[in-house]
Amino acid sequence: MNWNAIQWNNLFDFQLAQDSAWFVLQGLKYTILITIITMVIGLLLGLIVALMRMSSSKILRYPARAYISIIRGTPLLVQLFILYFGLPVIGLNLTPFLAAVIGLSLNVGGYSAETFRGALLAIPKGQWEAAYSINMSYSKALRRIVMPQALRVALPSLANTLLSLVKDTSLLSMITVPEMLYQAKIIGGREFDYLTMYILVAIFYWIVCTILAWVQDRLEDRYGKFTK
Amino acid sequence: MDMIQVTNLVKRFDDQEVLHGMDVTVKRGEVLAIIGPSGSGKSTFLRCLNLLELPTMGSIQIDNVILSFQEHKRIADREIRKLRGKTGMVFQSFHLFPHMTAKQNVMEGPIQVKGISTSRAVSLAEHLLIQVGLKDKQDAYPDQLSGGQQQRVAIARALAMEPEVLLLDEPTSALDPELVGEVLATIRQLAKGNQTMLIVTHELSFAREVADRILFIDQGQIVEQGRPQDIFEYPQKDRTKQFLERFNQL
Ligand SMILES: Nc1ncnc2c1ncn2[C@@H]1O[C@H](COP(=O)(O)OP(=O)(O)OP(=O)(O)O)[C@@H](O)[C@H]1O
Ligand SMILES: [Mg+2]
Repeated sequence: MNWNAIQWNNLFDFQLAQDSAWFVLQGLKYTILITIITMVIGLLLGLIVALMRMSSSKILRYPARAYISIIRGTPLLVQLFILYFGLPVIGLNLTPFLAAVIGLSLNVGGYSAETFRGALLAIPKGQWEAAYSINMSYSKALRRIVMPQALRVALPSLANTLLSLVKDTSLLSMITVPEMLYQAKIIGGREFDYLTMYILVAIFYWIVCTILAWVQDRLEDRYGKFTK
Repeated sequence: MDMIQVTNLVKRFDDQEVLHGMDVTVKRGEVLAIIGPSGSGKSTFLRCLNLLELPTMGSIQIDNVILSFQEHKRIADREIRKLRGKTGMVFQSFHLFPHMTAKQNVMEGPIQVKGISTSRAVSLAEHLLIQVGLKDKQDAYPDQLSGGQQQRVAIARALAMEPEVLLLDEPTSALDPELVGEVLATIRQLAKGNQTMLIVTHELSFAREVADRILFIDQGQIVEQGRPQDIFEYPQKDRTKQFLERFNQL
């Protein structure tokens, strides 16, 4: 390969990247906002579904299993398309933002349900029994005794879910949410230089995810074990 | 009224019957030691008393609460907790809450279940930790404590709920031999303080010393019961004799 013959500017145009950085970053607020809302709703949903999935009642267990199976067994992009393009057919018009939040929350819910279930099952039965032996109710035992321990178990996996979620927000460009990739494509199309814009978006995502991974490390140091 | 009256207690797991209709009465302040071979149903019996296992049939009265059980009859959570509130339990492997300090372990029940104020719970916990000799370890987490210390915290945790009856399931079996003594000393002290207790134990000499009565169980049935000196020196039933002989040989 002749390195001198490569047109580096065709790969990454620094000037264009610099000029359009601010425009692309306009999309970051959607990334952040949607990530936060979705993570909160998704985790709550995941916890509820996990408890349903572990319940002794079939009426709770079967819908939970079906839900998890559908979410994990179908592509996220297809789920988003169905929500955004399919629901209007039955008379439900969703804004891109709403479709995005619903779609991603359902997705996080499905994955985190399995994480929560695994983490809850990892807590020894003796912890439940000790909680019951001081006469706690099921919900108190869950909240005060089992959940704090399960969260520590689940933390690495939930952090992965969060990183995936951040990156998956790029799919929202397909349903016209003006997040970073959507913004980048606008300029890419106008300037006939998609590659520079894609690389720029990749760099921004990488920075955000690196910061989150750093926070995760700190959290795991702090909460990973039971002594100070 | 006796502190505990268990009538015709039957416990089945699937189709295996583990307790075949036990009748047990315990007086207030009495210390009952339950002995018997492995698999005879000692733990199951104890766990039925605080309803960690739901009895299949029979009835249990503790203090002023009575519950009776029938197959397929559902018992409301409220009823379960009313009876369970009369008991405290000490487990073979402690089961302290690992994310809480010794003191927090002891305070958890009084605050979360009884709803007492934090300041009262603190002084209660400190008082109990002094009683079990662990005041200086109050801020330690369970994994910073030895087995014997963990078990003493577990006893304090159970006592913090002021149970009418303390149930102890082989409280020293998981401990290194040199740590057994400190836990037995704590239990001995409780026995003197008039705490009603049911202790499942393999420490026969301790049972003999601390118990008012010995209950020998085999294959889900009470074989023999009586005062320690009677049971240990003049056992009436062959099965009791065999069991004690095997122990004496060890
Ligand atoms: N959850 C359960 N499901 C099915 N069978 C059980 C269960 N718990 C106990 N058993 C059975 O009940 C019988 C009595 O067990 P239990 O634990 O009460 O005996 P134990 O006298 O406490 O024995 P050990 O001295 O070994 O602790 C055993 O045959 C055991 O296999
Ligand atoms: Mg046992």
